Amino acid sequence: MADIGILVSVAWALCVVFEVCLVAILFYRRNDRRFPGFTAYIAAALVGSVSAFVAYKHWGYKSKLAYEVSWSLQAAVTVLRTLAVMELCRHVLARYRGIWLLISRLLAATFVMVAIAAAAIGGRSAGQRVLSADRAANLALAVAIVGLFVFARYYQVQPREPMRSMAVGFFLYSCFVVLNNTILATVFDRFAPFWNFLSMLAFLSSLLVWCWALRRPFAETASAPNMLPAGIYQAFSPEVNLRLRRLNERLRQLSKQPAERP
Amino acid sequence: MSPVLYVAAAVSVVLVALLIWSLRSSSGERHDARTLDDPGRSNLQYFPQIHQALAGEDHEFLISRGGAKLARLVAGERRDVALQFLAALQEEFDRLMRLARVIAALSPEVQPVQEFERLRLTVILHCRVQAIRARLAFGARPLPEMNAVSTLVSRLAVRMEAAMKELGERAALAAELASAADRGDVDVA
Repeated sequence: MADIGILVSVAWALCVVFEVCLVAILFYRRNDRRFPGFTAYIAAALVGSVSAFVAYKHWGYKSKLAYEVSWSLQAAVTVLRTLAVMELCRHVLARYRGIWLLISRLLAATFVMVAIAAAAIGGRSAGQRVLSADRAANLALAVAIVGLFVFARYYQVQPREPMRSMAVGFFLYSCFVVLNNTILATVFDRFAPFWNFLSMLAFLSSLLVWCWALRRPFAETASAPNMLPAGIYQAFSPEVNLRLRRLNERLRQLSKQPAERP
Repeated sequence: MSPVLYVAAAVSVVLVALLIWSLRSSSGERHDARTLDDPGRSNLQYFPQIHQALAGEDHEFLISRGGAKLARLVAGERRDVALQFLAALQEEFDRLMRLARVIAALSPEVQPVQEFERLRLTVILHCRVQAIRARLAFGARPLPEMNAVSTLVSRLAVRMEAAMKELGERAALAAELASAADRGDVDVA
């Protein structure tokens, strides 16, 4: 363990402590029932942290086997993180059935496209491909979270707490991982000792944000909003667009006219 | 330094900026909240005056009676009026589009084609209004055709009002919006 360094060990221990705290908060405040995906993600992250620690301790920090075990666990945690973000999106928008159907498809398509595009910019070695895949998943998550807030803003839906803070926690960690992995892939030798430490610090920050966000029980006070009859939108939307087209046509004609000067 | 690192940094900055914008503006606008059907705040009621101020005949009349200097002075003032009117028109249009988005949010089913079309048309319209504003700011005379544009916005507003009245849902919607706004779910600003 001497190879890992004291700072990493301390950060690692702190991460485990706060993961345990967050799991305890989730169950104590009964938020595990509202956020089962998020609870599963944190529990998996806790198991992953402990398992990776044990693997590195047992096989050594430079062992290939420990590396493979650690990244396999990380892949599983990333999948659960994706599910937790999906759950968050559902909490924010699912009560608005119409736009939720539209936005969920858009976010899913964006997630897949960004992940594929980011994964394509990978290195040739196995290690760089793993880093690249991790970066791709995190970039896609960050884009999905920003997309969620942008759509919520567009449709005048106000994301409530704790979803808002939870999403910010996910975003900060994902964004940091994107930068951290890119720097590691670029200047591997000089940066390698810090990469793990910085990554843990970022995760620790997100854990603190989540602990704060979930310190109170999440009361699902608001029932589903009274939706309008489907006919209103069906009749109204095409007509608004028709009038917008006319308005644009008029403005186009206006823009084409030569300027008259007094 | 690798170009990938620059791209990653740029993407991160853009994402952070977008996140701050989407979180800040949605809460910031709530301070300026007003109901969607507030007739006292509508700019459309000033159409007749704007129409008269933009009439082309007035300019010729001013040149013939008051001289070129007075005509230039008046034209400048009218240009300012036209710019303010354009800003008001855009504000009115934005209010109507917000209403359209709230209706979409409260509808059990939305058509992606209609939503994308409205977004596209709104972006184009904003660009065109900016272009006209720039033309006016650079000295073009206020054009009477602006009245036609304002009439279209007026019709759009009337149609939206009528759609809500026709279906007898206006009161229910207003109540829902008010309660949703109180709950902090829907921003009607």
